[in-house]
Amino acid sequence: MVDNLLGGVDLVKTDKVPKLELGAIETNGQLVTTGLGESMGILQLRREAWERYKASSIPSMMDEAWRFTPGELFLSDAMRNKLHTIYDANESVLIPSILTSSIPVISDLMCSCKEDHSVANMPKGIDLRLICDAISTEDAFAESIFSDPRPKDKFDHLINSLFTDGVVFKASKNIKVSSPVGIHSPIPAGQVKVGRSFLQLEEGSESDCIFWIDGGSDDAYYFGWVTVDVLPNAHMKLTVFQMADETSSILWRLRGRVYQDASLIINVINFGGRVVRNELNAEVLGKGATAQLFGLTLGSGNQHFAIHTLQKHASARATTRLRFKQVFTHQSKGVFDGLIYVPPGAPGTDAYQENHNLILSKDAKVNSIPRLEINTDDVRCTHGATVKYVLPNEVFYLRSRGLRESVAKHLLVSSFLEEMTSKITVESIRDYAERVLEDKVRGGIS
Amino acid sequence: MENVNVNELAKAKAEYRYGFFDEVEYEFKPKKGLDSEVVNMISDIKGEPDWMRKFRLKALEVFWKKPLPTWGADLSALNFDEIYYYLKPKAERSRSWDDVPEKIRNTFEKLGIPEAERKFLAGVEAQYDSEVVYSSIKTDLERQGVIFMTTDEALKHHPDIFKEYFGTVIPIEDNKFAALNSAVWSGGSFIYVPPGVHVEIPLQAYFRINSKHAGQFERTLIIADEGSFVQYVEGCTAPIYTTDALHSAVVEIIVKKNARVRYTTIQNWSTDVYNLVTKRAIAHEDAVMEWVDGNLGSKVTMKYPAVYMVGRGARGEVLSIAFAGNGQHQDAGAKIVHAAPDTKGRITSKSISLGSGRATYRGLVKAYPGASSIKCNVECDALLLSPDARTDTYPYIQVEEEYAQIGHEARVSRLNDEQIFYLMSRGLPKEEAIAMIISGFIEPITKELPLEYAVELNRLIQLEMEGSVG
Repeated sequence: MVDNLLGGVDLVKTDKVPKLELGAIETNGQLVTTGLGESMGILQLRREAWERYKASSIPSMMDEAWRFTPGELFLSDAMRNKLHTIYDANESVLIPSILTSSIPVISDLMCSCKEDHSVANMPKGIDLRLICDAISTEDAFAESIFSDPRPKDKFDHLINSLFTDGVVFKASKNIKVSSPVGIHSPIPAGQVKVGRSFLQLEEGSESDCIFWIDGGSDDAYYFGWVTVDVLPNAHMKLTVFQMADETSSILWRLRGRVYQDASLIINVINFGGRVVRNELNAEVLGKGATAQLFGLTLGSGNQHFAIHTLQKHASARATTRLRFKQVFTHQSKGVFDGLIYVPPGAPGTDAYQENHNLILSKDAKVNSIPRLEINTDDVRCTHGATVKYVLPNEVFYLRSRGLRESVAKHLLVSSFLEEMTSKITVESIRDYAERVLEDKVRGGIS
Repeated sequence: MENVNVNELAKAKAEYRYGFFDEVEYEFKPKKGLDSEVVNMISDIKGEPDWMRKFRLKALEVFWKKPLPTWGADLSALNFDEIYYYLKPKAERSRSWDDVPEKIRNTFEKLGIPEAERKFLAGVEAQYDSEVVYSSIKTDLERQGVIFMTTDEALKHHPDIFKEYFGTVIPIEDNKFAALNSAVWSGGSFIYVPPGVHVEIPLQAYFRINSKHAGQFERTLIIADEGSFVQYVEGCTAPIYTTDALHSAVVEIIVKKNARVRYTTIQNWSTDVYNLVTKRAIAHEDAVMEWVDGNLGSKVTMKYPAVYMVGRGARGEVLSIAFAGNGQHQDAGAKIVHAAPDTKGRITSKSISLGSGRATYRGLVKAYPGASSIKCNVECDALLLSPDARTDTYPYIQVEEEYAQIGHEARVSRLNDEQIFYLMSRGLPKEEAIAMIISGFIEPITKELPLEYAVELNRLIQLEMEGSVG
């Protein structure tokens, strides 16, 4: 399916990657990855995380956030069996030319080689490395990964114990990066990919990142956790472009923190995957901080998408915005579960949340749960949700102008979603996203 | 705007005008707690048919098996062993007002059911604890063939129609509290409106809990036959006690083809009552069901009036208002289920949180496959009047049908300073300005209430607000 969608886009083969000393060691039945050049201390922290993973229970369907996407979907026996295999290090990393031809890009696979030609072209003031390099050279950073005090669930422990892929991206103080930076996150075929990435913008810096997820054929799994910190006065744009194979299962978490007068704009575009669960958390921690979350989901076939968002107002006088649009056709299913949370003592909060869904077939299903929990009185919090179909009078209008019915429908659906693709800053990627969108919409309209 | 003074509010709450109670002599007090013996005793005292006894015992089994809900309000302080499940006041049921024992009459007088109201209103059914002590039915209702009596009476006098509909809308297995009610229900209203009959005056019932630890488990069943119309008004007040009481009612409504039912509740239990109620209506072809639901009192309320639209062209509407004062949690909302084509639903919810109060809107809009060309609109507004207040919105929208149009919107805000300033610049004192804004905020609900209820609601809210602002 992915190949199909890529239609016409060439894949660039990077140089053959060197075979890494990757080994999965079994100690008392525990699987611990090594070969990342980690210290024994880190290995110990991974073992502890693995123990916690084993000790913690699968989130129950009684838990509101897991009601429509049971945790067992990701912790299946098939996944457990795959955990015991390791990447074929001889496999080449393929970066879509759509990325390499327009922006500097790094592939987050552990085995991708450091001398990757495109990484060398990183703009000045940008520190972009593979997570394994960062861990092996900076012990303090490595330990901080594990000591993050935010509460963790079973999947967090799984990711902490086994992550091998990911990048560390840092923009130095007051650096304004003119060109967007690409992070390519391919899911190896038939494998379990576990990744942690860190994106950090220092004070006053500005940057634009594109996080590209693809691959994932042969029932692959992807457990990903991305931490985004936008320090005071910094501004970040992050586009997540997910077009993995329609046999893959993806559990992907983004946890963003936005400090005083800083801003974070996230745009998540979901095309691929069989079961996709996105947890997008944006926490505003300082006065004047702004977080904006946008998203587009286009489900077809038997795809299942679960988008869980959190807009957390940990500080007074901060703003969050959210706008998610989803279209479902064939037997696809979608869940949007968004929460605006305002703890006590956050006056001046301004939060908005919007979710719009379009159903294109009789077997498609949508659940929309836009939630609010407000504990401060001086706030403005609003939300809205709609579920609609392609309205006959709109189709009729276009037909009366001479368009065929299928074309009219196509136009209406594309225009519904185009708002989100048009936010992509890189022209070639935007065009590409629009082409994929057109293809999928065409396939979804009978 | 200055903050709401919580102490002042607590004082206002303590002086709450329905906070009185009379010592009533009970001729019969079974032991606290629940077992099959209690259930059998209830059935014995009432002289019920065998099928009802079996129904009650089966419900008891289900009640033990069902877990408490893991969502919603905190019910951990609820102790099922500390509750009396059946109480019978000394008074026999009376036909005329004069026969009602004086103590009970006094309570009603304090409650503000004046003689004038008796004249103007239709059959007043007043439930004093678990038995109806006063019931009068206007003769013209009887002439029209309308059955309006207590549910216990209906079981005796109209067993066939009773058995046909009882428990069909809310099965025993629905939830723990529906099972509890099914096991120990007592009292409540039964209404049957024959085809084509329009009941012009709202039928009313006043409920009161008036015994320490008294649980009230009334069961209401309303059947509106084809093309009929009836409006039922239920108001609750309860005296204040220091220990927790439980109110767990079940209301089942069947609205047949082309019929229309409006059910209005103003709930003002004292702030130590757990009010856990299951209310559901089934609307058949082209039928209209409207719930008007006001939640002012209780410690914890969990109540989600539902309309299941099973016939083409049915309409369902829920108007809900919640007022959460200090220590109160109003977990209220609505359910609209579209199970047939061309059905329309609407939910309007307004909530006000004050002091440490918490108002929650919890709603469901569901469209089943095949329910094509349906429309539903949900609107929730929440007003926060103090920094410690809390409000939540948990709307669930589940759509399994292509041709569905569903919209939801919600807003949370505090009182608008500009509006207050505007009204003050026109010469209104601050308190009045605030009261006016709040009256305007809840107006979509109050305008749907019978006049005396609208007046009472505004009065109650003003009372709650008294001394708490400005």
